[in-house]
Amino acid sequence: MDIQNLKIVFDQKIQAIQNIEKLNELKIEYTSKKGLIQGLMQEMKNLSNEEKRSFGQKVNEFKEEVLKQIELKEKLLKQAELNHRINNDKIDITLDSYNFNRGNIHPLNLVVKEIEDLFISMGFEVVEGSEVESDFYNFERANTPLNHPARDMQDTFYINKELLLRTHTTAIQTRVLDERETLPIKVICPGKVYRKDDDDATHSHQFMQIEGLVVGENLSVSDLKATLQKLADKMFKNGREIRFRPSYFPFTEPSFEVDVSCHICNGKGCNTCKNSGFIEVLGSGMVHPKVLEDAGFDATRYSGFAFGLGVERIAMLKYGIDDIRNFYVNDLRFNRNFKRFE
Amino acid sequence: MKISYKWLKELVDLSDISPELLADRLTKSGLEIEDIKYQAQGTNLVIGKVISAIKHPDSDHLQVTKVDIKNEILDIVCGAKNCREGIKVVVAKVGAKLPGFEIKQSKIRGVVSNGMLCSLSELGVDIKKQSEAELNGIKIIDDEIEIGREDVLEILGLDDVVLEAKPTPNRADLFNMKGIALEVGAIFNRKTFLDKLEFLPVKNDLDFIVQLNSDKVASYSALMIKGLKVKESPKFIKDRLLSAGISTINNLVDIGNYVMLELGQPFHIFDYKKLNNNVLSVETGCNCEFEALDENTYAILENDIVIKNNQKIVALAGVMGSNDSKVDEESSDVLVEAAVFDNYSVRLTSKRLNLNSESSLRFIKGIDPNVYSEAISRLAFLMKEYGCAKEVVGVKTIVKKPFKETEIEISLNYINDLLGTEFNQTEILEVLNSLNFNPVLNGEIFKLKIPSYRLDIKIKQDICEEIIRIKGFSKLKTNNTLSMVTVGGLNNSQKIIRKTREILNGYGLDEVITYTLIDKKLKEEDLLIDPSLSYEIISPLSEKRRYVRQGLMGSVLECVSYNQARKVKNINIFEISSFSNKSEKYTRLAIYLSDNYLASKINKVNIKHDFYTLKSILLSYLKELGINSNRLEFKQNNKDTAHFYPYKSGIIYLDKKEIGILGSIHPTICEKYDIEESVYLEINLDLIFECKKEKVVFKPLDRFPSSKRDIAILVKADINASSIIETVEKSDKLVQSVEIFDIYNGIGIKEGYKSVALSIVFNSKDNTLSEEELNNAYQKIEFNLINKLEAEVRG
Repeated sequence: MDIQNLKIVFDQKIQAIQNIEKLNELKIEYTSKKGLIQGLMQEMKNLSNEEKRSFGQKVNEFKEEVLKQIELKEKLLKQAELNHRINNDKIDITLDSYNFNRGNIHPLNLVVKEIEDLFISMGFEVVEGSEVESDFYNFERANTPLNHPARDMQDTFYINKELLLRTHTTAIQTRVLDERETLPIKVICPGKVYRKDDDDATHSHQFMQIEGLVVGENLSVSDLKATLQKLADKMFKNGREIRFRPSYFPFTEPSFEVDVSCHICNGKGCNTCKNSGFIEVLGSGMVHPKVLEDAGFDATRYSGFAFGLGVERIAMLKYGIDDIRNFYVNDLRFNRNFKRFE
Repeated sequence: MKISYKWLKELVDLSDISPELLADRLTKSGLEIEDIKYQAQGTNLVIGKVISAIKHPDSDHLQVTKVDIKNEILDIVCGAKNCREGIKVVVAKVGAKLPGFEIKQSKIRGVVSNGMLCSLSELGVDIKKQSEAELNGIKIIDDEIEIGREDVLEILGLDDVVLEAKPTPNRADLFNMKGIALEVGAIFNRKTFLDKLEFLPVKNDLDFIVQLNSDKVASYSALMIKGLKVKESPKFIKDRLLSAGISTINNLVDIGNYVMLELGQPFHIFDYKKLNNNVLSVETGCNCEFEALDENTYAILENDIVIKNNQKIVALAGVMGSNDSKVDEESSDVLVEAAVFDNYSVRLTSKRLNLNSESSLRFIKGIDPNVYSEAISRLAFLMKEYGCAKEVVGVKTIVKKPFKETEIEISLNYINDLLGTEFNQTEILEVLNSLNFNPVLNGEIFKLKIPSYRLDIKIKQDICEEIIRIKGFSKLKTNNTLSMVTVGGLNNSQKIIRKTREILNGYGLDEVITYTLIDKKLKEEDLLIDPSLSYEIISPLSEKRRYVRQGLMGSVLECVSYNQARKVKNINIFEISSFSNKSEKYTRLAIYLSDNYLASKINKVNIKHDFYTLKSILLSYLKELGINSNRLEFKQNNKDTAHFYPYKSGIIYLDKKEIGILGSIHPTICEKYDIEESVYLEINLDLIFECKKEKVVFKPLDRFPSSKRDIAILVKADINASSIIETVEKSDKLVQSVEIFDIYNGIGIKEGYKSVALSIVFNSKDNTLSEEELNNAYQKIEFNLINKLEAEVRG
């Protein structure tokens, strides 16, 4: 058989092949040691040297052509096979099977974390202290006079004459002031606090506060205001207006109540802010000189400011929660509502 | 404190200052105004006379009236039953604004109506302040009132506005009208009219003995007035007391209350004829009973301040007088007490006996120690004028602790430095003058003398607060000059706590926060701690909140119970809390697991949480923190089998130190909390905070392939997994890891034994292991298993 005919037959055969097995058979038929192409080589010995050269070249060309076509065909067949397989492997993507639930941080800790992170970014340390505290650090050092109503049995959980459940996170600050010997002090103090209130929608005998304290040189009310502006922006989105009102706390003098323009209505007046455009959020002031002196700092040279807020109140305002008891009942359906701080 | 706007207007210049503006500025300056209450409201009102009233053609209850308002006659349809010809009425003309609505010309069932005849309710008058007739119809005006008058609210006596103020605890001076007038004067820089008040000076020459036998009284004055006539108080006194929320009784009592409201000095009035002699003594240290004028008997304790007359208690200082010395309808001669008692003592007494009055409130806040003489003269004047007093006999005043004026020196620089402001001397001087601080400028220094009514002003910082609140907080800058560079951050334990939350959240566990104070039932679940170490509250709110908890199990199970009762899904929770007891402070973590770890019905997967998922979570959590599981040991729980299954729980050790417990909760505990059987863990985090963490360093990867061999052994059933693994691991250094992949104790295994299948991975960092090396290691393992664990090698 001559090359021409073999070529024609090969082209017909390869055209008809539909799977890899048949293709392999074809490959063997033509290119193996006993294959048709090798058979052509047998014919070479009958040819003259010159003819040998040109014939050999032709046979080689033909062999290359055959291998090329087989390779091409193999690619096509594999592609077709893959296409067939993936086109027939189907699932219902609208079906839900597993329910992966990531757990939630408690909403109060969510707020605490956000505030901590803001102040950490401003160079503050986080200090926590102990919930069972001495009367001394809770009241005496916070400049709360002995006859102050807060020091009554009726308002504070006393364990004995000296010990109590701290009534405010100011107790952490008074300890920090006592323990530190170098300035500046920049701390943020979150924690659980306790007051003898009957639990109802707006009162809880246990709640969380965060207080901040800065002590150093040349601190003024303007520094306090600037710091609180950043806190207000972080808590209730940017662009809050903050408003100071004079107030009274034994720990600070002067003392200020700080209102933040309502995040719901932007100060126009709504139910959340009781139409005042502002929400009472923080207590603050310049650290009372007696507090500094008691802790061994020269109040004529150093000054400080402090501020505090109720964590539950922030969460309630932010998310529109109407009952403080929700935070401590821990109905998981409630807790799971608060995935992010926005 | 309720402030009558009308009354205040007589004490300070309020022209062009509306109640709203007043409230706003007072609030911003520190006196919070919580509410503004108008007695009545309405514009475009006029007095009219109904000149005809005929039935509406189309209605049974409406009438069509013609109302004369002097310049005009209006057609008005009215639905009130008491509307009739000839009465004078309040007409709201078209365009009138009433609380909640506006009057427009309208057609009522086809008849034009040009206004409305008003009831008091339509003017916004509190229904509690209306008579039956007023509530049921339109207001009928006295016939003497001329028609056409537009000052309708004044005619009705309903033109006052009451501001509800909530002074801060330090501002005792804002519990009287004089103090508020001075405050308003300072804020708006307006003149007060306090110099227009009328007084009757009384001489301190009364023939009466006052003995102060206690150091809890600063001064005591006894004023004697004779020949009084008890009757109703004049209208202005009644109106003002009512606007302040004080009920009126008779002229004597009312005048006392009036002066208290006006100047802040509380009084007590004794019927002079009921006293036994001319001696009053102020004492403490009594332990007896006392019949007060409310006819109740109270137990008097040593710290209560009492007033005695002839050995008998006639008053409980600042709180209440005695029943047998009180004034009544027949009283004519009285002895009026104006004293300054120790505020703390009065508070304790008043709080203990639950006796609160306007007087005790003011004593508790602290009264102006110098106002008594002014108050006595004012009272004397009003008693003479409205109590028909024949004779103001005189007063006897004894001062035990004279008032010392506070003097403060402050410089302009100090003020501006503390506030961060740029005020000049003139501005500051103006504020100090408006506050009556009597400033004298001495070089750079202001020397101040603080008036006696401002007991809250003690130090320089107080002055700064006064300056900024009067000047306004808008003067404060907010440019942050805080330039102290510091490095902030969390400490080690705070970081670990945050990481703990993140890791456990990743396992689908929700965080809870429960109460620190618990009851006896929950206290029984304080694990691994001596119950007698817990703190107890002296006088708890209730039994439910008596103990300071030492552990978390009770609180957590209570929370689980709540959620299970509500069919909440996936109750897998944790809590982290710090604790204090009589011996130490510590932090614990509790984990409770009950529901599925992973479930899919479609994929037929249902992995329930059990001891092993709990343990895996713990190990994985600790590994994340840098604590490898080979530092942990789980030992037989012989410490607490009351809360856990004895053989499905264990004590956890880290580096040989006990850190906690984990296991399946005991059925009796599940029953106690009505919860499903489940697993629980509680560990002490302090050891975890402190312990060494694995260093994060690069370890070269295995260069040579590892080899794996399986082995099955038969061992006694009580040989535990960790001892088998340890035995294998310690047999040869080529052992890289050991895993138990099957435990079988069914058919074919002799009683008391189990078959354990192990998969062992061998590896060397020096070369590819040869068959000989492997066999060598394998033989050592077999040898140890047989000799140390009495195992039988099955293949």
